[in-house]
Amino acid sequence: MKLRGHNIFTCNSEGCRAEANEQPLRIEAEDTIVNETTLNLEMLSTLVDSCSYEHLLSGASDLEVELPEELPNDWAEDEDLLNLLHNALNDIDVKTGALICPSCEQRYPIIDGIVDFCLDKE
Amino acid sequence: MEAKEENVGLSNANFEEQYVADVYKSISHHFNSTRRQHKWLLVRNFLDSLDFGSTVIDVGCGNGKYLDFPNLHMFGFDLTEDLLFHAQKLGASAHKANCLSVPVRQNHFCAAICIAVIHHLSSVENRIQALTQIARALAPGGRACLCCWAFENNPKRIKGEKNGNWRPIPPSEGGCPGDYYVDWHLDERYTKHRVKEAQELPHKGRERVRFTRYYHLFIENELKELCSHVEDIDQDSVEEVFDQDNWYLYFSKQK
Repeated sequence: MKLRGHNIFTCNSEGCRAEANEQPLRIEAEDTIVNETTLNLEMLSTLVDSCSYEHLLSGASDLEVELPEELPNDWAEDEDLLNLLHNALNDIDVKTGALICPSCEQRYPIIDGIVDFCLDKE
Repeated sequence: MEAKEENVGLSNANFEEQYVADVYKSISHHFNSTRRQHKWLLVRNFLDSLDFGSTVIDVGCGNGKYLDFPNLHMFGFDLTEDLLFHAQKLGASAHKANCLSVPVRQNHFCAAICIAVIHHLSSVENRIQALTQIARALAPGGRACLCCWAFENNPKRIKGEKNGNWRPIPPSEGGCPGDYYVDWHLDERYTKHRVKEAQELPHKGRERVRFTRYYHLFIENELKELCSHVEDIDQDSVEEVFDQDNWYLYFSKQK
């Protein structure tokens, strides 16, 4: 799971869905790899524009990646920041771990990079 | 007459697990090998028509066939883990979720695709729920493209009915017009594990395992009618197009 995916996820529990809870899920990373990919400026710009920065900050912090509290207006011209954002969104891949809802504590296991959002019906 | 325990209706959650999810688990590698290359033209056209850098959700993404468009930010979901592994190998964002409950932010995506998924849902209620999930995920004005197998003039169905691979599900078993059991003969090279429903059959001298899937085939306007139950859909935007034995459904989210 990469942060660009984490950015769009929400808790899938009945209660959270009913409340339209869209808080960022907490990441517990056990195994993480970094797979460096080529930075495409236009694609990265559109991706960052589509992201919730709050979610990105939260996810990055969970993965011990430091991003600025706020994006400066000229972020698209700051090469270092661009590389940081690209790396955070596209290169870091949580292979094993879990996502946890900060509200209801529901856990979604991450195995082989895939988050399992299916909830067992008992 | 007492109802048998099996006649719980096709919308029973276990029905879809048995006749869709479990089957795909068993046939995933064989299925993947038959689906690898060919992208359906209308889906390709839809994705090509989107603005550069659009965000797109692919509900029921399978092996990630459509997740590799370089100018789009694609996010896929599917139930079958082995197919998701294939998708992840492409570097795609592909995670496990059911189309009836898609765990994403509301009002977010520029576009959505849902290819060959809804025809596996065994009740009107579930089909509406899937459409509702897709519409919910779209940003206001966002567009969706879905496709399902058509009932009309369908050579696969006609041939299958003749050779017994396609069996209409009778009302006595909870079936409605358009509901079929469809066999998949698993090539022995891909045998992974077998679900209890599988049957060993000789096939041209080679042992094959048969799995049975549920399909609902749609008639003209049937998908359109389902859209009328989804508030988020702009009803004036709903369009159906017939192509290659499939009904394609297009709609936009209310602005």
